Amino acid sequence: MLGGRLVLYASGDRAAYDEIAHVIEGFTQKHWYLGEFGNASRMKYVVNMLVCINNAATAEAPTFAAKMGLDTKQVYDHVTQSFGSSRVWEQRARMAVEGDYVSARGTYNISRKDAKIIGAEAAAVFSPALLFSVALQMHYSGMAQGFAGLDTASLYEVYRMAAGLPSTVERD
Amino acid sequence: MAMTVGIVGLGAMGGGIALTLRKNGFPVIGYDLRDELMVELEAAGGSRGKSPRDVAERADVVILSMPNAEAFHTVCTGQGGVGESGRKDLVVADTSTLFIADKAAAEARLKDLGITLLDCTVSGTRLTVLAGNLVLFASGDANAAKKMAPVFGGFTREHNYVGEFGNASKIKYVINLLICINDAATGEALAYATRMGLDPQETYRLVASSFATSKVFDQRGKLAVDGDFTSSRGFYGLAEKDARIIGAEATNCHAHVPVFSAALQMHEMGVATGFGKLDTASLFEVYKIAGGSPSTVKRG
Repeated sequence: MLGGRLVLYASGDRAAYDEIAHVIEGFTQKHWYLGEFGNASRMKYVVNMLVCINNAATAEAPTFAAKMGLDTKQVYDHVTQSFGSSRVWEQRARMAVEGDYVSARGTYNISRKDAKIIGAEAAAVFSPALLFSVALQMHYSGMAQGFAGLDTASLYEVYRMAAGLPSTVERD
Repeated sequence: MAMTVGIVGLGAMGGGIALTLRKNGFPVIGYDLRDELMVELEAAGGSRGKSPRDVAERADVVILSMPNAEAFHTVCTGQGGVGESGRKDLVVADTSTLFIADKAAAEARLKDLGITLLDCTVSGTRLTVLAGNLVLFASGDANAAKKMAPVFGGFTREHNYVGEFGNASKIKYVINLLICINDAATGEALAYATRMGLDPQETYRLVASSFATSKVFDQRGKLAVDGDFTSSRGFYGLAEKDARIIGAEATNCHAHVPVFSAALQMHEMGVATGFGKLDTASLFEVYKIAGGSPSTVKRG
């Protein structure tokens, strides 16, 4: 965020937004006005739902690869070039195969707080969130196992344990 | 001089490989049970084989692109198969997505006949290969892979040798596991947004430029919000074939794949509710139906 790459969504009274737009410009890379009050929150729920699913998928795939006996660093390179890649994969799968869960300093905040809101909002509008629910359970498992202070790339360790592979990290 | 390439299986992928090799100056001898596909190859300057055996007898190297294990075994070691060619030192590169056990069994039987089978996989569709963007993974005997390299270069953007027999299949399973998940995640997120009253097009644009995006979301998210489920000519083939192989291989090695399993259920629902012949971007519609909203999309 201090790198000046913050993205901001704004919604609600248009005149109020126009009035402070120049201030928003001062601390964001991009900002969007999304219409009626609440839409900025809704957009963030959608984004974080996908990040949560991608976090788990990014750990699930290299664990599957490791169980089949593949070299996970080689897998990282090939998957990153493939149609199966994602922004989360590019960043967190690299951390996972290198066993580095601290340098990005991402944490389990999505599951600690945002996910409860996302899940409740999805239930409120009766929108099925099958993958999100499963992915969230893996995040909860990670927190329960003591990874909460590490980057969510450490879901790889959660998956490894679930698959009977040894974990290599120290926990909080 | 370019090697003469035999290709058995001229379907969507095998046919695309044959046409691309022809375009790049390779003599091609093809075989398929469907006559119209042989006619298509002849129109592109290729020639017609009488059987897989005939193809193996006349070509320098052979590529297989088979739809299922039964056809694959017949072509390898069945009557009129490449195994009957008596060609010592022949290299056969199989590019099908199958269980590794099937490929390994054929590899062992062909080895006894002096023929080397390589386990290869390709990532992409017919359109990908025709555009020159195919990526290929090859595994198995290193010398055989080296011999195939100029031919692989004739129809791919990139070809990677990935070590011992079976590794090419395994890498493809990993990639397709992620594609299967991202397909469903794309539908799930867009349906959620729509259900909350967000504009689908605006949601697509913002998510595609966020950390939450994926290559699948970039491409299929756009198709989903445009309601375009036909122009890509995509379909639920991954769910109907590859995903079952991936699921079984994951079970075999005791990998834990809960998100993939959930995603696969949504793909199955897509097939069950009539979207099977459309692009998997239509999982957006499947999620709408699962959430009690009507889908107005015309189905097969």
